[in-house]
Amino acid sequence: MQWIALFKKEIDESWHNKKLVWVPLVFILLTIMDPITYYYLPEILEHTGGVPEGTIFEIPEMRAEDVVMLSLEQLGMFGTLLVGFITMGTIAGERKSGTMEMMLAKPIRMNHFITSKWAANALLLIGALTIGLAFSMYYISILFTTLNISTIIGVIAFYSIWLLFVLSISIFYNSFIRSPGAVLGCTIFTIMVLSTIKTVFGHKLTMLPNQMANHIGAFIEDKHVHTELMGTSAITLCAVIILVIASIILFKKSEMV
Amino acid sequence: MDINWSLIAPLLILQIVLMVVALLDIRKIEQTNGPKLIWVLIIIFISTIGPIAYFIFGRKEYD
Repeated sequence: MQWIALFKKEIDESWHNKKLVWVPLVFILLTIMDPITYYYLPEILEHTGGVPEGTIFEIPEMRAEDVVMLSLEQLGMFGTLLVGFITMGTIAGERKSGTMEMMLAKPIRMNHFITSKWAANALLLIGALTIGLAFSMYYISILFTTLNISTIIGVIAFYSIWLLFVLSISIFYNSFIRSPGAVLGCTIFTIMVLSTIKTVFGHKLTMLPNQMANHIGAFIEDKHVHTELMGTSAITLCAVIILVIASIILFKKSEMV
Repeated sequence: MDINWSLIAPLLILQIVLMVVALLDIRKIEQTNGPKLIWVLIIIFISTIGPIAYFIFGRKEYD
């Protein structure tokens, strides 16, 4: 099957350029940093000094649920940026280096080309996220309170949808922009515009893709999947499908010329 | 201060693994963006951020 071959080529490549190794490592570091820091916060404050003798610090008691949210916030910032960096060159870079001309000299179907790239990156990101969050929740369970397994699986599943959305935005820009840097810029700009829309209209539009983290927070708190979370997931997945289809169309157009 | 090393150790190990992977990679790669020596120093002396920066900006993949 041609699609499998293309997909395999992508996976081989991410092994070759070590993405398969460093991306999961960075996700683990990102997500376990906060639980550890918060666990040791009293000691850290004590030892960095600058606190007058006899000061009594009221550090709010952190619950496991709060710490999971901190990990997700960290992912929301650096994780999203990382997705942008990892995927900025996936098509644009191959265009630049001429690899793609070689590829497209063979009779390759454009939709296979785009979807295999999407799938390979999706696998890498979801794998890294799963490993990262599993580590983080393992730590949280030891340091704070135990989280039950269905909560952990739920958080990973719903957060994966958000990462797929960011990936799809990046693939979308990749399909017609020729420079990896510009792809990254456009991806970040789009995320920023979305976050502005969320700030301004967030109280009315409660199911924007970037409200995923908030709804996941409610899910961890209540151990119950609310309609908002389901709605946001459905909308985000639709957006993902639309972005992938649009990428295929734009890619065909840009390669015709 | 009472440090529980079994908690901190994985964090340090991860950072070291990241560094080693970056160094193994830079040894094999033909060319980097900018002088190789500088990247080696960045990878070794700037923990975590150094290797990540190398993987994102240092590898010459696209040309």
